This record gives sequence, C-alpha cells and structure tokens, in this order.
Amino acid sequence: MRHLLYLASRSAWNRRLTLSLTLTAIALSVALLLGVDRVRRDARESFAQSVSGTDLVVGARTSPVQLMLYSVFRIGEATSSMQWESYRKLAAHPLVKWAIPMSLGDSHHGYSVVGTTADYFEHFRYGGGEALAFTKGKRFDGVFEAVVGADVAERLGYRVGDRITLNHGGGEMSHAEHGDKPFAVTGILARTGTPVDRSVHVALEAIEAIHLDWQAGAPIPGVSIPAEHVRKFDLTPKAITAVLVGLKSRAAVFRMQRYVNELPGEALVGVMPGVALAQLWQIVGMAERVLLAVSAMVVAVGLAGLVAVVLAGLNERRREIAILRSVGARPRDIFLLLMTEAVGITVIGALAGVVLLGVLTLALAPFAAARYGLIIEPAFIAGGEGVLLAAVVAVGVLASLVPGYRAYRLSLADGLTPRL
Amino acid sequence: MATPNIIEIRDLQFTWPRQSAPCLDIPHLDIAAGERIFIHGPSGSGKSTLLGLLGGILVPQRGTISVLGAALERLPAAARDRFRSDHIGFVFQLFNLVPYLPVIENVVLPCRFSARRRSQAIKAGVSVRAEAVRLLLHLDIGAELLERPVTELSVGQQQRVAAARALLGRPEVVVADEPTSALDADRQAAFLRLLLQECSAAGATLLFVSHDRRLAGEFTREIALPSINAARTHETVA
Repeated sequence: MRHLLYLASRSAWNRRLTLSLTLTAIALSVALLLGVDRVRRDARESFAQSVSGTDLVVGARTSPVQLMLYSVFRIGEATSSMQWESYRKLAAHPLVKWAIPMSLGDSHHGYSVVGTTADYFEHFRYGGGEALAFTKGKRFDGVFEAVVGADVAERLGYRVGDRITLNHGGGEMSHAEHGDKPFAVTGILARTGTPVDRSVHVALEAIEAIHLDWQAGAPIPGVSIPAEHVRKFDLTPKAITAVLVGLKSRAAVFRMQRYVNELPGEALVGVMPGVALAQLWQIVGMAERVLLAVSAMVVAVGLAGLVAVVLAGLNERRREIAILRSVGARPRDIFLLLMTEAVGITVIGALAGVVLLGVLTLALAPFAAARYGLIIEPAFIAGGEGVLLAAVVAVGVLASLVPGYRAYRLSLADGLTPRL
Repeated sequence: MATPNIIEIRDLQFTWPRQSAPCLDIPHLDIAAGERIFIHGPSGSGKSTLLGLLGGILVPQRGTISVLGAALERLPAAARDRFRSDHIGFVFQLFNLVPYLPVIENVVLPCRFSARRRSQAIKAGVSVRAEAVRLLLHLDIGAELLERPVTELSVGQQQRVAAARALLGRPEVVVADEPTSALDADRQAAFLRLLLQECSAAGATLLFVSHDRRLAGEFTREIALPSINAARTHETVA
C-alpha cells in the first residue's frame, strides 16, 4: 500500500494545477456547508443565551416572536406600547417575584437605548443564569446618567464620566438628536455575549425627560425645556414597551400568562421565552434547511468536479497504467491508486475547508458580533460538524469508486498494450 | 535436466472475446534458459497476444503455457500478476516510462511491487538504488540523469532506462516488444548490443519481438510466429 501512496502522490503532484483547483472547490464548498451549519447553531445558541430566568415577557398584544425579537434581542421596533398602569398591576401581583419595565425606541450610534429601572441590574439574568456585572462604575442614579454595554463602550471608546447624547428613533442614520440633554456614563457592564452588550441603559424617567418637549416623534416647534428644569415635571412614564417578569414559582407560569392575556383595560400578551424561541426556529428552520440543502448541493458539485477531473485524466494515463501493470501492479492496485487520489483530494479538501472556515470565523467573529449580535464560537470543529465532515468524506469515497472502477476495467481490458 | 526449458507451450489456443477464430494456436514451443530468441512476424500475427499470455495478462482458453515450470493458466489472476513482477521484465516500443517519476524511480519500480526482485537487487548491489545506478551506467545513463524527469530524455535514453528497469532484480525472462523500432539505425544496433550484453550478464532469457529481421543475426534462435501459429489470423474477416 505504501508504494501506491507514493505513486498516487507523485502522480497527483504531476497534475497539481488541475487537482489544486478541484481541491479548492471542495475546500470552499466544505467551508460553506460547515459555515452555514455553524452560523445556524451559533445563532440559536446566542438567542438562547440572551435571556434566562425570565418566565414571561409581557407587551402590547402582538405575535410572541415579534415581542421577543424587539424586547429581548433588540431586533425590529415595537409597534405599540403598554400602559404604565398595567406594569404596576403586574408588579404588584402576588405570584410575581420581580418585573423589569423596559422602554425602547431611542438609539445611540445604532445601539438601542433601554429605559429601565434598577430592577434590571438586580434581576436580569442571561446564559446559564448569570447576573449582570460592572467592569467599571456603577448603576445610573440620576436622570441623565447611562450604563453602557461592553460592545458600546469598546467600539465607541467610552469611559466612566464621558458625556453622550441619544438619538430619537433607531438606526445609525437617525438625525433627530436629543442633543440638548446629554447623559453621563456612570457604568460599563461586563461582556455577556448577549444584546445587553449592545445597549445603552438609562432610567425610565430619562426617556420621559428627553421627550418632554417632543410630540409625535418630533420636537415641538418653539418649545425647549432645558435639562436642569426637567425635574419640575412628573417624569413617571405613561407607557413602556415591555416587561420582563420573574415568578416566585415557575409552575405558576400558565396562570400568570392567562392573567396577563385577560387583563382588563388593555390588550396584552405574555410570552414564555422558550416557546417564542421554538416558534422562531420553526419559522427560520425552513430557510435553514434550504440553506443547508443548497450548501450540500455545492459540496456535491465539488465532488462531481473531482470525479470529472480524475476521469478525464484517466484516458491520458492508460499508458501509465499499462506500465504499472507490466511491473506487477494488479488491477486491484490500479483501482486503489485511483481511489487513493480521489479520496486523498476529498480529505485534504475537507480539511482545508475546516481550516478556511476556522480562519474566516476568527476574522469575521468581531464583525458578526458587532453588526448582528451573533457570537460565533471560534472553534475549528464544533457540534455536529464532525458528522457533516464525515458525510462529505463518505460521499467522496463513494464518488471515488467511479474513477477507481473505471481504471480497474481499463487495466483489465488494456493489459500491457493500451488501445489508444 | 541439462538445459531446462524456461518456457513451455503445449496445444495453446487463445481467442479474443467476441471473435470466432482463435488468434493464436501454438501446438508446441520450448524455450531453454539463457536463449536469446528473436520472434518476428507481420503485424496482426499475434505477437502482442503471445506477450500478453507470457506475462499472465491473458489466459489461454485451451492448452498450457508454463514459465519456470509454473502453468500460468492455472494460477489465479493475482498470482499471475505477482509472477510477472517476480520473474519477467518488459521493454515496450515507446512510452515505457511513468511520466511523473524521475529516471531512478522508474528503474526501481519493479522492486516496489516485487519483494523477490527487491531482495535480488539488494543481493546484486548494496541497495536497490545502487544496483539501479550500476545498471543505468552500464546502459550509458550517467548519474547526472538520475533525478531528471523522464520527459527530458531522448527516445534512445528512455529505451535504455526501460531496459535497466526490465533487468533490475534479475528476472529470469526479459520480454522486449519492438524496443528499437522508434530508434534510428545506429542507435538500434547500439541499444541491441547493450541489451544483449546485460541479459547475458544477468543470465536472463531474452524474448525479442520485432518485425525488422535485419536484427535477427544477433540472436541464438529465430522464430517466425506464423510458422508456429496454426491459427490463420490473416484470413479473419474484419
């Protein structure tokens, strides 16, 4: 077998240009396949990590998935708000251990601004139940104070004491500024790998304060209330976006959900994060499967190209095969020679694909995290990728049977004198 | 047995698939060890077929062909392949060499497939490579060509490299199929002289196939294939 490996590698090296192109195609296709799978898994992982210990997410009646998307993942915008009064009722409910009100809608350099209370830092949990921690500074205390997430601080270079201004509405291109009411950064949160890293947290009262002189999404002409005067107004919010609810007992979640859904006076919805996520994956699952199928097809195309290249080269190698036969190669050896080549290229191509993907994820992980909040694990092989990789190699071995068998037949038919 | 027969053919018939008439029908042929046989015949007279049978690539439908006392037709295919690499060296008309291997690797190729040839080469030289270099030098291939790609060699040099490969590890039989027909007259004579000389030195029996009877003078025996072949191959209708 060793001499066959030697011959196969020398022969392959002799045709290195065509074969390296084929190898590149396989490497790219494998990187694509594993990449799609990895992004899919990591997306699920980072979504699942984003919230923990929250039994219900409550908001104005909408689809559970949408409520989750904007309240927890900060994707999209709330279409309607819920009354402060409803939050008061929820928070006072005997089954409720804690309730975190959240007011969303403003932004800071594309990062969402979350209006909330001290309960947020007290009760919010992510990942496996970890609490939020500060790397620097402390919670906001006054109206014009802000706590920024790890990404915000890092990307914008904020330190405790810096002054920032918020923008009205979302998006990086938002032009309406709350420039007259700057905020002081009082704290920077430790990295969580969740949307918290990309949020700016202020007091609910601050959200009220910066909108005092606003109406219907625009500053009221001729009215300007300076920051030092806002305390003269009642800054209790009239409406918020959503409430994260933790219960004293998880067993009560259905009762609480019914209570929320039937709360008189306002159409609310209570969503269990796990259920909403399951729904989300159901919606996204179809697209994922299509993506995976397309990537699998790309791999198949790569392997078909390999078979085509090896088969096409076979005719030119009939003389070579006859020579090997004359020095004692069995037809079985010829079969193995061709198999070795095709399988070798599949394996090397697959490994190159793994390395390529590893390098790409390392290079793109910061971008994906900053831009899409997607935490890509910089692993070379993770989760079910081994299975996918094994499947690629298995299909490669099967495909290699084609040139192997053809060479076997040719070596039998040609013997020592190829009929060219 | 004073001069044992190295090749014995009895009542051999071989018919190619999908043909009605046999291509070869040789009632009797003996070749003694150490003979230098010149086999000639027009194209289509079954020369290549005979070589295929001797090499164990083809199997006769009838009769027996034994080499070194082994009846090839009775051996399983893998054993015939092994027998070929152990005992027979081949030189063909053209394109004898594996294009992606350098000169030296082409010469040692049989020793990669045959343990017997390897051990005999080591016995003759110090190592397989040393013996290969020695044979190449005898065949006028200098050490400076050893690592060259074979594609850089002239046709004459290629044929001599092929001869060295056929002789390495002292196979009992060397079969040369029109090895000189691609060479000009001067080089034909020179190649033939070297081949004969090295076959005697190695004690190999040489079967030299050619349609060019001018070369026959150098051999111990001349066999006209049509004269021993009872099959009337020329009359087969295409």
